[in-house]
Amino acid sequence: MNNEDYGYDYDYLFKIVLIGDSGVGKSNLLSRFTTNEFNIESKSTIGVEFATRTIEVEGKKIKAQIWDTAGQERYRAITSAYYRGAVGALIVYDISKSGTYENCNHWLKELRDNADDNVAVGLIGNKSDLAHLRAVPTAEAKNFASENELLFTETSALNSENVDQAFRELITAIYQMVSKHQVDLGDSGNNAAAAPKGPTISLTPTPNENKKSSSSNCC
Amino acid sequence: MAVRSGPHEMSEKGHHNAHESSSVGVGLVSSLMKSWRISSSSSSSPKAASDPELSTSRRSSQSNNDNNHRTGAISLMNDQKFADSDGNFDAIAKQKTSTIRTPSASYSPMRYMSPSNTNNVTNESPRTSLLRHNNHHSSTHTLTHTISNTTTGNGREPSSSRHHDRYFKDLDEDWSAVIDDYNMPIPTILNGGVDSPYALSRKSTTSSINTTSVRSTSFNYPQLPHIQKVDSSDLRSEEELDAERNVQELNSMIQRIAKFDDILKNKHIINQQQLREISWNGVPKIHRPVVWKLLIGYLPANTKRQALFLQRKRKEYRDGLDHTFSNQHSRDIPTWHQIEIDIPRTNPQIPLYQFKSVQASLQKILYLWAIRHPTSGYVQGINDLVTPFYQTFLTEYLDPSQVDEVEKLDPETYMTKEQILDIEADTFWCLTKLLEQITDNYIHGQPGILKQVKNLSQLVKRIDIDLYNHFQKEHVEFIQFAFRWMNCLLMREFEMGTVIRMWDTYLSETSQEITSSTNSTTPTDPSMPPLTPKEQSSATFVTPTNDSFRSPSSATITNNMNTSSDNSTRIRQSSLNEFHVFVCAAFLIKWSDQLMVMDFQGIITFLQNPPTKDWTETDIEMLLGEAYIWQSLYKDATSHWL
Repeated sequence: MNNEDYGYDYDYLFKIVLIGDSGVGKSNLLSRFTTNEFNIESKSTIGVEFATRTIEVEGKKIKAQIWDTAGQERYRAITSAYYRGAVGALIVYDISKSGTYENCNHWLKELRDNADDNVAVGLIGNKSDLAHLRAVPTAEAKNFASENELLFTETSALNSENVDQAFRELITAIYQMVSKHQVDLGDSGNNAAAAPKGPTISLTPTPNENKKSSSSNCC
Repeated sequence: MAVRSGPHEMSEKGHHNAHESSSVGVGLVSSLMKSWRISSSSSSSPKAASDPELSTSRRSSQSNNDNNHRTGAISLMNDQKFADSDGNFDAIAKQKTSTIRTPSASYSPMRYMSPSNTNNVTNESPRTSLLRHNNHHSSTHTLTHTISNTTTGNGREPSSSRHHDRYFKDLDEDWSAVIDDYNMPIPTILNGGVDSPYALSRKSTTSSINTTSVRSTSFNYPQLPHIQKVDSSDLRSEEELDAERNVQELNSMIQRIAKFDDILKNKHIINQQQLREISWNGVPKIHRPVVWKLLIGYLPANTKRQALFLQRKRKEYRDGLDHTFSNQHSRDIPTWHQIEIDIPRTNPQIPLYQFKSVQASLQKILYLWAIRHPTSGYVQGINDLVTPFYQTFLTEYLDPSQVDEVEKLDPETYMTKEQILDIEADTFWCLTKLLEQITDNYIHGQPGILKQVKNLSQLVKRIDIDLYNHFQKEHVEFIQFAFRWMNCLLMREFEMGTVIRMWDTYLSETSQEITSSTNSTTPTDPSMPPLTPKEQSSATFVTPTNDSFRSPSSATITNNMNTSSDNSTRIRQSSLNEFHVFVCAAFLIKWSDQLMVMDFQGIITFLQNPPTKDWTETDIEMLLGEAYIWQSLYKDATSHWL
């Protein structure tokens, strides 16, 4: 299904979460990246959905395990549990709806509160095909991103503009962070370790990880 | 306690049955295992009738047809080796046996005639439970060796299932003939645990077969049904059989409609209990709008009050709309906006939900519901739950010949504005009734869903420990896939047609408790609050202002006022939620064999998008029946942990 999926044959497994307001196009970003599909008739995401794709970065095969979360506020209590073990996150807004951009602050805080301190974050202005309806100036978002040390890309899941690039940049950033830090291999305290082969990357020491797992073990 | 135990332990466990409710499931399963193959000697045990879950109440109208088959089963079951002293279980097993052994029964006129249909529907379940047990015991053969003359090997090889398909493409109509030849070794029947329940639905559910046959054939199991097919089906052409089947289906439908007519028409007080029992097995399309309104407790059982009642509730809805969309009410923008985003994404594959008129109706209904229930407010997924009601109630206004077109026609073309408002009102009130029973699913933190997910995992742990362990090993958490199952009542997992059939059962199941209590006290309508119309109107339409919007206390008051009886609501609540967990368990375990060989990614991806596209009503009925059996097996045990 995935054009570049190497199955078990990968060097690293990165867990990445997609967050952002309802209706900004998170699910279609994911399907565009993982299966190169765009579904105009997609339903709202309930809980979380999941897809993977393996890409090559600096000669290493990296499997991105991407969790797409529900955007509605009511679900945050549930979805924050999915941040556990994530090494990357994309905060998505809709360039044609300023409210979704303004909420990025909330999402960033949500992420800082629930995810790992070293999690790599990208800001994504989606629906760039709706240029005529643009409500969020690119420069402003870029500014916000650099202030908060976020990667920034404007994408269109509809016409696939920049989608691959946005994910690749994030994955590359994670990889570089990982190779810079001494990599904590073989940690099994998080979800990303679920796949049986290949080292899983965690950016926190194990004790912290364990503490997190037990506290958010909701089921 | 551990549910899994070897057959040698089972006899010991049996002794504890009387004392330890949590072992009932085990005992029953083991008894079923044994009784499955045993004689009729204990079939007439008086205990059979006293079994609370599976007794004659649900199957009082068991057909002669079935009885005949049962006799057949008796003559066939000549192996006394595993005779079981527990008569009621035996009777159950026999009942199941009789239905399983009779594919034709599923097309018999009785199919839609009585709650005994439950048994047809559920015929897979005891089998499945047995199968699953067998699957987990290394000593399976000790139970099945007596049929080794008809089963060679364990049927794992795919060829056997292919044989099965080839030889048994037609459903056997002449079932009694099968019985005589049962003991004849027929080499082509390799798969002892052949999936007869799937065979019942094979006609329409190839995908289900493809995906499930692997698992089913992996069991060693006394095979009963298909043996004779080779001979008998050769006698008639496929066309003949098809025609006959169609005639039988038509007949059964007609009889079933007559049965509903009998309950609904020319009655002062509609017997809700009767209605629930019969509706559990499916409601004919033409009766569905009325029956659903009765089952959910919206429409009064007292037929003389119905017209006035509907008039009043519909007016209340209009008044509510008028108020909500007047200047007095300041729009709750986030809620309105969220609904606005979700409406176009509601059933996007069905044309009906693309019509502006329909989208406007749903927007109003959902928004009104949301602001009247501030503790929960609008939660994504409720937009799914509203549609079966809306769509079903539309059919009332369609010409019977066009009922199947409801998903394609714009209501504005066949209804007046007033009628559309009536539909909205009915939908609104029924949605309110439904959500009352699952309130905890949508309040902050969604505790109802978390609890259900937890219960599901506990249930699977007991029913299918191997699958449970596999999930653990792969770090699959139930919440990762089951959250949506609970949040949308599995609606996202099935096509609308099957969902609606499922809701026949859900709505019957849901309201069961309240009805029985109502019936026992007074025959009046349970849904009618003890308020005068005026009082009630003011009570239910106390409009929460924006001030009270975030106030839990005022919300609670409003909710309580909306609820005709708090106590009964609570009972109903547990009833729907509990049954739904069993349905989810049956659904999950259906894919057990496939999931067992998948890794984390495979499991999550599979469960995110299970292969149910081609599921028919028959498939859903089997699932519901299976859940029903699981529930009866585990109900007592679950009281400790559900």
